[in-house]
Amino acid sequence: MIAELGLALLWIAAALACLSLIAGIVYLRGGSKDLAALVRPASVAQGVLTTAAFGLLIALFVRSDMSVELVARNSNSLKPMIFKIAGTWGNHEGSMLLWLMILSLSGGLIAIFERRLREDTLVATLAAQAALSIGFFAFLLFSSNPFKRLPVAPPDGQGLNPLLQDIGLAFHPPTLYVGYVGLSVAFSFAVGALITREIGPAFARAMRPWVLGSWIFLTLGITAGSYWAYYELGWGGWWFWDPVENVSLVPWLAGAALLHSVAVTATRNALRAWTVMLAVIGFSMSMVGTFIVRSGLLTSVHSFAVDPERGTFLLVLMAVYIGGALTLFALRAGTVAEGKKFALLSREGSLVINNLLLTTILALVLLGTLYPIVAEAMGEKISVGPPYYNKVAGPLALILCLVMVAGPLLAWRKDDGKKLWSRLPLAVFAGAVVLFGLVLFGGKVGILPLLGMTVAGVVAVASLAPLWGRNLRRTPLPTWGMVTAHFGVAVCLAGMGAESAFIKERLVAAAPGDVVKVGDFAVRFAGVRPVAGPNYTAIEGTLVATTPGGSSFTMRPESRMFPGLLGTSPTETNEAALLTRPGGQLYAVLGQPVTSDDGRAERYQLRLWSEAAGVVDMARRRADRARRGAVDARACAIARNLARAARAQGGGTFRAMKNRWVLFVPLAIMGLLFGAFIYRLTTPAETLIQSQWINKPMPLFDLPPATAGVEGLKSSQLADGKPRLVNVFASWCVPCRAEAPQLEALKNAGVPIDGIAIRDRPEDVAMFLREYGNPFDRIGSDMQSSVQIALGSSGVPETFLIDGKGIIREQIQGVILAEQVPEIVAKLEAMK
Amino acid sequence: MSLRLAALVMFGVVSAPLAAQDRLPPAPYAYQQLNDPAKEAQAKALMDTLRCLVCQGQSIADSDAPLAGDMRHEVRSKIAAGENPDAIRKWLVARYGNWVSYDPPFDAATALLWLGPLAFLALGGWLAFGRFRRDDDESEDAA
Repeated sequence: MIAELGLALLWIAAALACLSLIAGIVYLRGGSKDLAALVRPASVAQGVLTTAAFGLLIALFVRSDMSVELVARNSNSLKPMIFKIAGTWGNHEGSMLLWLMILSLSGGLIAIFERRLREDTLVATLAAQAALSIGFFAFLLFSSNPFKRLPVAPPDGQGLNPLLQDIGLAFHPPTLYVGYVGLSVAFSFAVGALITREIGPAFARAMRPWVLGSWIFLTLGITAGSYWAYYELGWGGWWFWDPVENVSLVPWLAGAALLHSVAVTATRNALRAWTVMLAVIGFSMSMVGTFIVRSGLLTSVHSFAVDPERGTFLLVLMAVYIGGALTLFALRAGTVAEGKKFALLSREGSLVINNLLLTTILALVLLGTLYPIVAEAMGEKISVGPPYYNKVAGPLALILCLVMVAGPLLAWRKDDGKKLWSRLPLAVFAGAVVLFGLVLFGGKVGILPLLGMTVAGVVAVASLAPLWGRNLRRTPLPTWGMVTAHFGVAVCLAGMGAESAFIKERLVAAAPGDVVKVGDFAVRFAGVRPVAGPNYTAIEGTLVATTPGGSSFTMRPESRMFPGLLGTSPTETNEAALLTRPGGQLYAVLGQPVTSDDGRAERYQLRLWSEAAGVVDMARRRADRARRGAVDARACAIARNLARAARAQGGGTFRAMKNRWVLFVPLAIMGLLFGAFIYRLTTPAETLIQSQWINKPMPLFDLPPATAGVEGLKSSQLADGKPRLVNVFASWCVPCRAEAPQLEALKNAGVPIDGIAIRDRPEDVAMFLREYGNPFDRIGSDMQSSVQIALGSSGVPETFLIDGKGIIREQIQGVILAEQVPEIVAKLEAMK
Repeated sequence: MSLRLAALVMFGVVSAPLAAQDRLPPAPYAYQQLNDPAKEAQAKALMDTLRCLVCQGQSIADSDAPLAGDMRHEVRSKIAAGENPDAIRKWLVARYGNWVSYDPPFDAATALLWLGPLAFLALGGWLAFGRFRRDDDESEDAA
């Protein structure tokens, strides 16, 4: 019954969204005022009903109702309760319902609390919010119904992805979603204001708390995600510039830019069209992010499921919403005056530079993420990774931080350069101290970390400057919020710089009793023991870490094994152990057992990181705390901020923008973006990497025989005047077995074939040849894939066509098919 | 190790179905660092920027695919033999194309990638500076 009720509530909520939209449109086109009166209650009811539906879905998960497909696929009755609940949004359908719930709830909250806007602007805003939710209702009800029943209920469910069974990650998606979807409110406000042309301080003030709130949630969500990656994945890193990470960063950047520009609009009634555009861009980027994650569009460690049908649906939705809003912007913003002017050296001026840099970083992150798709369309395969972002975004971010130093110290409208300098000496001094300290005592530090930590010193001191000489009790909360957030940036920057400059890594295969030195810690590996958890078994390692001070601490990293349920394959996860001391942090991961050659001593692979400088970890923790502080302070600050901003507005005549073509630029950029998406959806990514070592001589090698009774293979033997095949294979490779008959056929057609066995043992090769036949003249054993790498080969089986001079003419990736056999014979014949 | 592989299979990233695993121990330098910390640092920095051919969302430093282990062995061996990291990157790019390097070169195909942000900044700056008030123009933007 619960599932049916949930579905019914969703349909009713969808109908209410349609009602809000239609009533809103008719009213705005001159219809009766009674219609406008309908919109508020309808929005509230929609929010309540969608929330109730989500509550019912949670109830289904809590009760482990396996007759519901979603529960059966994503939950298990043995799971701890907290992960049963988290399972609700740990999957596609549930997370889309969560998205929709936040969307509807936001609409309801605007309807209840927003009293500052003109009635028609409010109705337009709510109608825009309803229009957004209708699309996602359609998506949910027609292609991702979370309440679908199974004809026969299985005895138990398949469980939740074990990697996601972590308390940090359980709340990472909802936090991020609140942030993403919170930006939808800014989007709707912008659309509403464009429709009724009420773009001014009132609109900015209505929007501001939503932008602040969602930006805080995005910050928390991203921080939680990085921390999860840090300790659960066992990779020791926290940010990889992976596509999915990038698309979560893009809305954050848009939110940060919007937060600053909306302050200018609310306080000084300037930058109006720009604020509207950023509001549209912010939520557009949220949708793009969701689309990229949900459609599996980009190669990433995070892409969950590739589903082209759902991807297409989302793409159409996005095209309608983003395209519609940006077209409206292009047509209307020309009549919106930019507002009051100001000097370059002023608070507004610094905020403009802030926005310029933030949007440039946003653009380059987006460009770097999507450029490989564009390049592939032009026939080039490239990868864009950390080196690109560090080189391009790094300097911009540092300049941004320097602007952040000056901005809060400047007066609105116009300020004096000399005055600014007089406020800075202490900050510059702090930076100089950090710089000299690092140069003198830091050892070899890279240029970017060095600059990062120096700027962090400057920012840390300067961020506190707005508090100097003030009565701290009377300092308004917004100032506290700004100071805390800016100080948090400094701490974060210091942490990032120190992390990349001072981290020490040790990889060892340790036997019980071994002592490993890493950084300032001495770590003794005491041994391992099996442990059992509620729904997993684990090997727990015991490490005793001794600090330079002589105190010892026990660390217990685990390697967990979750059994495969109902036919799914078992999964292993790593739980890193973290030891945080004033002298730094020690990070330990227990890896695979390593059997030594004599098979006696049982050793385990250990991965240890120590962050030598004590400042790092403290810095990072302080950054977290500072950010959280900023949340509290800033959330409280909203009300007072609004009151203050209300005083600071003036009328005046405004100039309309002259360069109208500029207004179409965002629309054009989005068009290009969609082009890339459509290309990718219609042309799936080619994941096979072809060798570039074609029409080049065979690399030099001399491989020993892969097994007794066959000859080894030397590269010099391949230039004997006879064109031939070199087949790269392995006994452990299943497709290679399927290829055996074709190789046999080629051999019978008189083609000479040599083999290279990859990572193989002689006895396994012998067994493989016995079972599947031996078409090879010679087989070289490539134990460490070195010849494979020298050939540019990326998998097994692969076959290379070599001409009589030993030149590689062609690479065939994967299994040779029966119909390719005559073709290959002909090609080799032609090379003679 | 197999955690990452398992995770990647689960996340649908592993391109070729790895139906079976080889039974050889990893190559010596796959999970073993070079003794010289300076050389190890060079190797690590290079490995962080080379893309794994199997787990295509990861660098070879992070990936636990056997081929990534063998590539780490290759990189560490070459560094130990005194080769320069740029030469090793070129050597790999000659075999696998620019795809294998996370550090795209500057050429015709990537000009837009490298210059795009600068162009964006320039255009944005040009538009923004038009907005600034010059001199002591106290008027409320009347023009």
